Amino acid sequence: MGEEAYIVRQIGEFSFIADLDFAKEHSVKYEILRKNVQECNRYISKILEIPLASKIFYLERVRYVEEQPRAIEKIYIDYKKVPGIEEMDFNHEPLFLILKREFGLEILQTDEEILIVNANEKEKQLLNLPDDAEVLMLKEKILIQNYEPLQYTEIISDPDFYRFKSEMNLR
Amino acid sequence: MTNDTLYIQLMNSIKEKIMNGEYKVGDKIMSEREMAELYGINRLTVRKAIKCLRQEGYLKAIQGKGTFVEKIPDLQDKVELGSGDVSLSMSIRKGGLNSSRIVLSLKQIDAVGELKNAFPDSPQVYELIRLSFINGKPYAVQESYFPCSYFKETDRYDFANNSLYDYMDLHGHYPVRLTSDLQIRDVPDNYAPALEIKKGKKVFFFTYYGYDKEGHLVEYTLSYNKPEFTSFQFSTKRKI
Repeated sequence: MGEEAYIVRQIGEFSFIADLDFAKEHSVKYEILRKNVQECNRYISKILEIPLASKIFYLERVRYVEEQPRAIEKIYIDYKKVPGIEEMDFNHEPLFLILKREFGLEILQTDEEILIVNANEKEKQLLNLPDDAEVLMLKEKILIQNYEPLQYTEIISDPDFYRFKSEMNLR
Repeated sequence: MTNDTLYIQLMNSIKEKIMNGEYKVGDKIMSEREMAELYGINRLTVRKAIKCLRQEGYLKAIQGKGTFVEKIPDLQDKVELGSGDVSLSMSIRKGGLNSSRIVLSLKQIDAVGELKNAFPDSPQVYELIRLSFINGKPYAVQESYFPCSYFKETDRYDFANNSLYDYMDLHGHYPVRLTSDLQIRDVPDNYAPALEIKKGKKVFFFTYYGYDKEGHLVEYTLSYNKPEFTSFQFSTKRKI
């Protein structure tokens, strides 16, 4: 697993920039597990700052790199900002490009959090992980104009799939 | 597959309510029927979520009375590390947690291999290994290396109770610029006992490079942080 390709994320750059760079050098494909419009529960409603049971677009997919499953993405988008998105093709174009071109939505800010968690049965099965596997969990909230939440994403990946770099001035 | 997703979402929602203080320890939570109706989900899904939270120790069922909050989820005890926080102990304190630290070892060693590349002008470097605790529990091991050509008299400084950066400041080489890398790695076998985790468990592995105002590398630190106490957060904004 350690020899496999990984994405380098520069803190301070949007995640899609690293994804685009990565896709130039590797074969990346998606398998859609679920794609629908549904009502949100309280957890998602609080994150997206929308009323409970509001409509959201839900997309769940597995990212394959060089034919290997490397990450599971669960994406929740406030549906009133993206009506009709469920009809679109998510296999051949990054999501942020679709949001920009079709709906005029520009990302203003992303808030991210990284955790290490135990993989559940489904994740172990989808990512071909051993029984006692731990995985990287990346939570991302995307804000658009007026700092309105648009999207919440949870990514589960094998721990080697992401590396993070940052630089800061202390004085 | 759908039920799995829903019950985990419901578990998260209940945990979130406990963490937000909406539910306090000892409070009675909504009944299965109420939750099923409110969220429009199957009662069995609600039952499964509550059962899991009981097994995890967050909820407790009392026969004939209902289900009550038993403890606050561990997520509240996480240290939020991110692009704004440099000092581990500062991050811990900001999280409202008690932090303490011991020095496992401090010695001068020859700069060979990776250390020689990092500090080419210093034949010897200090190696400082510290173990941090949160509320008395081991949390992180930090291996710090700094060049003997810039620093001295480490034996006169208390690295357990004072910051490494304050020491560097005293010697005129405060790191004004810091770069860091984060990866997820297996805990090194030799640190597993100190961190009280099993060999092979995953940890957050940070590498820090600190540069003084002249641009010289003055600190090279490797930090192994236990996941159950760590949450790494950062924010990215569009440059306008």
